[in-house]
Amino acid sequence: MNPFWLLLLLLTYLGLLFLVALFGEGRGRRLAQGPWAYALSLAVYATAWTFFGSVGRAATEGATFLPIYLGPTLVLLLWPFLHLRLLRLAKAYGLTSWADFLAVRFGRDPGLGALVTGFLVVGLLPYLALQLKAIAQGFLFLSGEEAPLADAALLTALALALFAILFGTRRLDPAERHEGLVLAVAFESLVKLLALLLVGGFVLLRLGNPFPEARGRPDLEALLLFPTDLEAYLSWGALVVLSGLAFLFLPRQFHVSVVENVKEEHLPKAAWGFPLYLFLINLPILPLALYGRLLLPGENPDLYVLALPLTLGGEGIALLAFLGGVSAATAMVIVESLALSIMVSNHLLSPLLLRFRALGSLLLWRRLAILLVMLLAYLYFRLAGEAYALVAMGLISFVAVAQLAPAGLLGLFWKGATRQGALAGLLGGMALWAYTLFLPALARSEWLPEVFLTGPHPLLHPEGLLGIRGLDPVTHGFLVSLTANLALLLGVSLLTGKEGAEAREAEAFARGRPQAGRLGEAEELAQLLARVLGPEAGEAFLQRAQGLAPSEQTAQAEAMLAGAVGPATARLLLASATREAPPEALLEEAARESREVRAYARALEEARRELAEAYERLKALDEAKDELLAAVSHELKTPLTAVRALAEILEAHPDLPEGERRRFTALLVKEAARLSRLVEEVLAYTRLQAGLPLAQRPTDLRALAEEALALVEPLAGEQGIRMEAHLAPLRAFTDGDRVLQVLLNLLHNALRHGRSRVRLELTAEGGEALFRVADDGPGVPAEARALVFEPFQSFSGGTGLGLFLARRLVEGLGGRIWLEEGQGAAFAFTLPLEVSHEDPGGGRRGEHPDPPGVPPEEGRA
Amino acid sequence: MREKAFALFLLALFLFTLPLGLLFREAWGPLGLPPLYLYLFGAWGLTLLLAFLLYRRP
Repeated sequence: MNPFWLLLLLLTYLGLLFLVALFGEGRGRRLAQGPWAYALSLAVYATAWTFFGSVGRAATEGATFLPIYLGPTLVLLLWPFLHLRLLRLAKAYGLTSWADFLAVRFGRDPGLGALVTGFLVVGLLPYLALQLKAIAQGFLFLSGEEAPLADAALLTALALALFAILFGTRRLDPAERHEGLVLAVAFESLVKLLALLLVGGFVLLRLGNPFPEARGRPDLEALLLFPTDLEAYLSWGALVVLSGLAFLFLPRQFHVSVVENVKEEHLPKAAWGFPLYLFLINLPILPLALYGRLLLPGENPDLYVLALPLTLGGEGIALLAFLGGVSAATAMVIVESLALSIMVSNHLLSPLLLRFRALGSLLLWRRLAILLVMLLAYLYFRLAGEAYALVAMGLISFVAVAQLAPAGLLGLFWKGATRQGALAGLLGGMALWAYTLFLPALARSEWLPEVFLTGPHPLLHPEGLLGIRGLDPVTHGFLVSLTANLALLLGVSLLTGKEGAEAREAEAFARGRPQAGRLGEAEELAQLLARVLGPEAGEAFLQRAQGLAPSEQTAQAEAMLAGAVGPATARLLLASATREAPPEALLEEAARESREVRAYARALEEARRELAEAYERLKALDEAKDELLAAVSHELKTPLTAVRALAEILEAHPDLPEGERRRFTALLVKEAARLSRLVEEVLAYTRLQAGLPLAQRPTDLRALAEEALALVEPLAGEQGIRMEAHLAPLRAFTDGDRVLQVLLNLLHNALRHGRSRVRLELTAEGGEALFRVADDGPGVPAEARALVFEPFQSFSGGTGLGLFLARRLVEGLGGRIWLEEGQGAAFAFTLPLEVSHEDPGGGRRGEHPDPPGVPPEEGRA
Repeated sequence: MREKAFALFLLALFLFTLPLGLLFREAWGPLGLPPLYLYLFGAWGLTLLLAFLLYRRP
């Protein structure tokens, strides 16, 4: 293909990427902040190594390309819990990388942060170089050129540095999210997935199933089998663990998963969404590898993805594959260089610039750091890149990154990890990584003498320490360096103790909340933030600081500063605007915690008391049921005995005079009615106890009162009692059946005690309907007045349930009931007319259509 | 949910790190496909399905 057109295509694609990033910072901001963009941005993990290198590895070593994706799948299964803790700590402390994390966790040691940063820059150079190599290799392959490979790589490095500077370093504001960058990375993840699936689909469509083709080739059969030797099994397991750790500790993964995370709720979706992505992108790898081996025996296996479509006449597909590879490489390079530049800026540049009073130029230096990282990666590619296949280069970086795992994970979960332990582990691990992997890689490229490949003594062979044989260099380097790292961290931590700032930070990390070692005034802190980060940061701080305690305000300001200039420089800057927290402040903190504990204890005591009360109520209810049973049995016995006696008399004396017979029959009817009423009351009581719901609806209260009067009229006539009524036309939103029951209970009660008249009144009073039932009987004795509404308190025969039921029903409807003073007995109860809120005693109540205070109207007499 | 996630992690770890060389001794299996890869992608797919069921509601 014409190199000019190819270059034009490459530049067009990069232009499209710019447009996507601009869209993400404008109208597409919501899209960039969504869960799918988050899950796809995690796919920055899949680099040119995945796109080109996996096919190359599958074509030469079979299934060992898969552990690189099985490891992250395992990590993501625990992601919502493991990562949530990290996310919250990062937000509280303003952490932007694992270097920040380790520096803060282990006593805010600036040396530790600088060491980790320097090591990661060196350790990740092979990985960055791999991406440059992939793009340059692909470009030259498609253009049919052999050289100069380096020139294409240099151009690519410069273009990607420009992109990272434009979309990753707008401001120093730590709260800044790079939505444009996230959307561009998510877009590239989609492009590389679709491109690889299309290439796979195209090849399969043109050539069919590769497995029958490979059946006759014994050399290809080895790719479909797993070796039975222990070394191969160890290598497989080590790769699974290594890739899982690398996924957690790669700077670019920290950047997209922590710094760019906008919502904790995105984690569960990413926990299955991202592994699904890895699963899909790996589906076409093996078929492509087999066809590469079958059709292109002399070709570089890393280029099968491009060469196969070209061989089959699919130039367009080959170009798409190239763009997929470019997507994979550019996304990684942009985010990784940005993450590294932030680390360099926070841990190497900020302290220096602060010393020379040039902190104002930090943003410029951060941009220069991106350029420097790119140029260093290019330099590594020139020095050692040509000697390795893509995957081998990437794995060296994976082992470097994994050195952070012991200090990072134990620092996250174990309070006993100390600064000395972390330092010893990191130094030991780094030294062994350099000795077993990095220096031999340079020696293999003939940039270092051969002694770095063979070692000064057979027991000190860099790729077989202590006489270990049979392991591949990466597995050997990983196991040796990580074991030494972990052993040193554990051993030294157990031998050393924590004190001062380190002990405080270990405690604070365990709690997940920063602890203030210094205190400052909000105004002064805001001024400091405005000076360093700009006026918006000062204003944002003042808004966030409202309502916070001084110690929390200081922690907040420190987090904002730490995100922009690193934890060490932030601490130094704060020194000018704060004072050492006096012991009282620490006491105050302890007192606050103590208050929290006491409040918890009080809540427990309250719960215990409520439980005891509930138990007492339950016991009383149980006893009440027993009493009810006894009372009901007793009450039933009298009318039953009477009914039986009367029935026997009528049966034994068939010749009774007609008058006598009628008298007995009337008595029988009366006793049966009494029985029926008793049963009704007991049933009403049980319904009430069961808490049946109210059936509330607009109800005409006057009609209800008239209905009650009509029902008791025959009884009143029989007893020679005159019924009087004074009923106002009122309506309410209530349960008519229950109101009727209350009225009947009160009226029956009044008829039982009244001598010549019973009066029922209905009036509106204070926004309520007021019912009053009065009789001219002897009234309630003074000693019984307090107990008149209690259950089973009968003063005139009966179950003693009538008034109790009336009270419960009225209260359930949101009203109240009472016994009035005066001649005879007068019971009154109210029902609400105008209430629009929920009532714990009753249901929802509507508004009365008529205004309260309607003039009373005489009802029937 | 934490316990279920940890159990799923252990299951996946077991499935992904079995002594595969001892289990799959033949290069060709059903429909001429390699049993080793059928197993690996099958175990991976099963893990994904279980993870989806576990985490589908945040």
